Amino acid sequence: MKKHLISAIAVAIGGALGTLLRFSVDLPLYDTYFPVNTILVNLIGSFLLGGLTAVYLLKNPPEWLKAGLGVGFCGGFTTMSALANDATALILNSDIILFITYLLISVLGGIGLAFLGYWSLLKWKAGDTQ
Amino acid sequence: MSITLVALGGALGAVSRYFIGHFIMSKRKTSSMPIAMVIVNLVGSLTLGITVGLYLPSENPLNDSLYLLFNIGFFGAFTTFSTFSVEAMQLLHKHRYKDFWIYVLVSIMGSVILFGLALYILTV
Repeated sequence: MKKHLISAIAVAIGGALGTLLRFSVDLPLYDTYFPVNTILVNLIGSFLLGGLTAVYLLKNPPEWLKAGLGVGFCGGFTTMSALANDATALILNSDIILFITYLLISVLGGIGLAFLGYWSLLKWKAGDTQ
Repeated sequence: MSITLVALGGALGAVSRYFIGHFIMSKRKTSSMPIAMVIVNLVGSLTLGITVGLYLPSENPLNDSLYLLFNIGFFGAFTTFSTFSVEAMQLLHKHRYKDFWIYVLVSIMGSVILFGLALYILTV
């Protein structure tokens, strides 16, 4: 129970920081028609969590730290609900091409960058221990 | 003030996701489909659609307390994209191609359709 509580506090702090960082990416890009802000946070966050996943495989950090960085920070920084909102806005404006482009960049970019983060950290950390 | 609302919403959203995720995954075998974040993302997108449909923020949403607390803060942090990317990558890595396609399509199209449907029903 105490372990859960410490992890929950770490998730809250990480979530608050990640959300603030997402908000600070939103601010300068707020007026752009094509939702570059959501693409940026989702792709960077996917790369980060991919890297963290590799680090967790090689080292075993305490549970609260994993929860704070992964579930809290990366989870709070990236967002699916804003993606749904952005995509719906494009459809409502009948921008089918931008709608498809937006979803393809998000999904292919997100999964590709998660893999890149995972793979590069795995290579880098594996080199460290040799 | 706006920073406090965004941070508070973000902290609450992330903690809710953490507990719901734990609860759902504790009921399932580790080898099965990772559905916890699919459910969280679908519920979060649907609820954001309802929120946007019921309450349109004032002219400048960045000065709107409810928009900052709920739209940017809570729902933004409750739903997540990074876990979606990593879980999809892991399904590919394990050569579970059918699960991969189901996971990606249900997460993405489900979130967009549920958000759009809620908005459409409430505003048209």
